[in-house]
Amino acid sequence: MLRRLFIISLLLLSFQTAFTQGPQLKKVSFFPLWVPQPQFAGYYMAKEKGLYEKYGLDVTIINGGYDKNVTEYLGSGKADFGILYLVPAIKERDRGLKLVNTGQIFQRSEIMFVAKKSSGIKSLADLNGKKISVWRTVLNDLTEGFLSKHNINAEVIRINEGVNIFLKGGVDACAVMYYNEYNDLINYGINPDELEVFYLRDYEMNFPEDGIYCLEETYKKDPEMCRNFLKASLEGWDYALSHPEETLGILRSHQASEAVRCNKTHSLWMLNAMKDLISTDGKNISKGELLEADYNNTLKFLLETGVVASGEEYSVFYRGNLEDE
Amino acid sequence: MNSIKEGIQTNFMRLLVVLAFVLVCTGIYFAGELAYGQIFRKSIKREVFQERVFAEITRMNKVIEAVQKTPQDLAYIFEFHNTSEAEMKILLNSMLFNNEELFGGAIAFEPYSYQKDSLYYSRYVYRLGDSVVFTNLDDPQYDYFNKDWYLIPKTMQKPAWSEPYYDEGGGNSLMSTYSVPFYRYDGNRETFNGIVTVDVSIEWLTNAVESMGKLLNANVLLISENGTVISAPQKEWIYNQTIYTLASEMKIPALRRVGRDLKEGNSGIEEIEEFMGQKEWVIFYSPIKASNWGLILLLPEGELLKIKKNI
Repeated sequence: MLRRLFIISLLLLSFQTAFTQGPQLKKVSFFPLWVPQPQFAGYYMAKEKGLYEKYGLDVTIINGGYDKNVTEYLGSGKADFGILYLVPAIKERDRGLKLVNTGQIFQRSEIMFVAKKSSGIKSLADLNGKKISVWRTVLNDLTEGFLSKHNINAEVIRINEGVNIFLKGGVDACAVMYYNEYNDLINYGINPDELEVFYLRDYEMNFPEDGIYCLEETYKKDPEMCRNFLKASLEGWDYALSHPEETLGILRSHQASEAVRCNKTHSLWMLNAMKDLISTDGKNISKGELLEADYNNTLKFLLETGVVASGEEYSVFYRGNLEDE
Repeated sequence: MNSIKEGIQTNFMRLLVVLAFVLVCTGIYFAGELAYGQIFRKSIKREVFQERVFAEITRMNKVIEAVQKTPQDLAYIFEFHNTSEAEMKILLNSMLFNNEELFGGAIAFEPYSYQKDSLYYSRYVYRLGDSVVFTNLDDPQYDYFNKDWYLIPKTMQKPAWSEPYYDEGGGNSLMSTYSVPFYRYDGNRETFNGIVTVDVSIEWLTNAVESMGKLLNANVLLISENGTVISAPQKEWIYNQTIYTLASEMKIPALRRVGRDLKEGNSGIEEIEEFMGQKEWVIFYSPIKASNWGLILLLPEGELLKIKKNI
């Protein structure tokens, strides 16, 4: 009798376990381009709030840095998804790494050059003969391409990150991101009216920035997983932007573990700037879509500057349409 | 009879008016004296305190100058002497043994400069607990050519202090580095050949500044040239905040003015209504010219008035 009861209990227990476990989550690794900061708030919050799980994904976020390369991580399979700007993504595809865009999160360009007004730089032409710092990362096709497009003959100093070389007077102008280094300058005591700024987007280079990329092979194998990653990420962004205090708190713990400098003033500025970047106002597309005209403009620039030899069709490059389901 | 009575009344009234006038004037005089006295006392106390701040700044300047002297001397040796690896080790080790305030020091050469087949060539010595570690920074992942401590003095062609940073892959500690470029002269022209550095740990600076805070009974902040907090009683501010982000977060615009004035190389005094939940504070600030850093001392006005002149 006791033996029978024991067997029945075991059977009941195994039934219960089977019902509570639910469907298996797909393991996915994601590399958000750079160190933890509000630029990637949506992804961190999608993970934190269980939104990836809601869409059947178990996501591991790999923290980036200047010594880690997204394309290398995607190419070698160390990451399933990664964040890239449109320009380096097109370039990598042209060079043979079959990347596809599965979601365009940022809709415009935030790169700019800044100079101190006291240096006498008032126009692009004044940059001639000056020392200018640019990132040595994948963005140099944009920054150095901009200088070349405008026939600016300057001494280019390639740096890893930051604005210290500019603040100490080592260069006359530097490339910055509006949502990041530009505000660093303000937080280092420079007043906005003391800076001369040149936005790339004001010079026909309004190329979209952060997009979600994976290998074409990954997309073909599991397009639903790619769509789910985008959906969860966009919901993560909605959550992050409507809960700034909570979001910054979560990010702070990631930043602390990576020894990333962090203060509320700058983090809040960056998070607020994301709203405009993600907005698709005036484009007649949904959030997370890559506009065909944006892709064609970017490709045109890369062909003209000789960065790419030929270009892929928009429909081959962009696979982020949620209506494909 | 009536006229005599009226005369007495009139005179009495006049006397009252005169007395009232004298009383009011005396009151105004004493109130003025009191106010003036308070202002005077405040001003004297501030002068006394500022003198002490200047004395501490002078002391700190000397310490920083001494720190800077060591790599300057080493850079001179590397310019005029072909140093062997063994000699480099002796020089770097003795630099730490003779300067307890130093955390580490390095010599780093331009590509293929010290050894014809080596892209990177550097030697680095740093403290680890009670021992000293002798190593190099030649890992391509570390890529010292692009570190601020190498690139900025190279570009500017003059010595420079770095902003505080976490040296991952190097000393693995929060530090600030003083770098001196050195050159090679081939008979025709001088070319940049490398950098000599010394590291000062933020922990050591914090201890030095904390001692000063205790001595002067004030909150003391040490900030870098760009305004980054190098040392503060609030440890979470160090490296994360600048004087300008604190101004914004704590809604104290005076802190931004202080930061900007320090950057101009000026000393001064500011008053703020509230700081850390307490009313009426006075800020004393002065630059440490040797490193272009700034020292900011905050204390409540009440504490300032307790200061005795001869302490």
